[in-house]
Amino acid sequence: MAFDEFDERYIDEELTRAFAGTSAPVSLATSVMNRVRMPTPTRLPELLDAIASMGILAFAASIVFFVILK
Amino acid sequence: MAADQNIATLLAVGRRTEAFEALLAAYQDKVFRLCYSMLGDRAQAEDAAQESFLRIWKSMERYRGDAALGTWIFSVARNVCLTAISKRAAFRSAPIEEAERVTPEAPQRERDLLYLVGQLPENYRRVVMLFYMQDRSYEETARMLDLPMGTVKTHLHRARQQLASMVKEADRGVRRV
Repeated sequence: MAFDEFDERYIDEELTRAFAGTSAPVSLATSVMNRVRMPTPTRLPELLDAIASMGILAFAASIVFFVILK
Repeated sequence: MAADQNIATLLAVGRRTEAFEALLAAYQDKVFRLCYSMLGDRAQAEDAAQESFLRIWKSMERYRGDAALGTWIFSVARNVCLTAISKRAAFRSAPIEEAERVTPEAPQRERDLLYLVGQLPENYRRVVMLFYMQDRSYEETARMLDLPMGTVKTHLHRARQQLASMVKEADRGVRRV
């Protein structure tokens, strides 16, 4: 390693050079905004499934009630 | 901070998207630097910064201005980074990989220094990276890491001393070979 000086001041200068101007990647803001604008997933399919399941259950219950029990 | 005032005003009148865009523009570099200093890897820092901003977006309406906007944003980012740190096993080796993988065109001396920074104790490494990325601001570094300014100064002084002795040691090794 070719360092000529080893004092703290020298380290300070080297660190300044190594890290100065570190900024966020240009894609960060775009990626974030794309994800923010993504539509929220709808719950409609689950809702329709639940309604259909209840319908089937009601139908089965009415068959049992009117055909078997009566 | 004028940007914070503007964001607060936009939020107060219900212009959430505009407020968030202003917030993103004002804080993207700072949040990225905080994540980079904590995670030691640019790719992971970008993921963590994205995750932080998404959390901020989701909870923006609940922000009531009890804490300064910056303080709130940095605390969200710190929590995201701490979660990321706890999830990964090979944390200590990340800065070394970073120096070798992301900056192959960087001068050898700079790569050596980045490698040595990666060898520092975690609390020193965070302070060193953030302080130098943050244009050498004690106040901002302390605010972002939620540390007293005196602690930041002490960590920096000790870290530089350690780095100086590590450089000496490394140089002695090179001369011996």
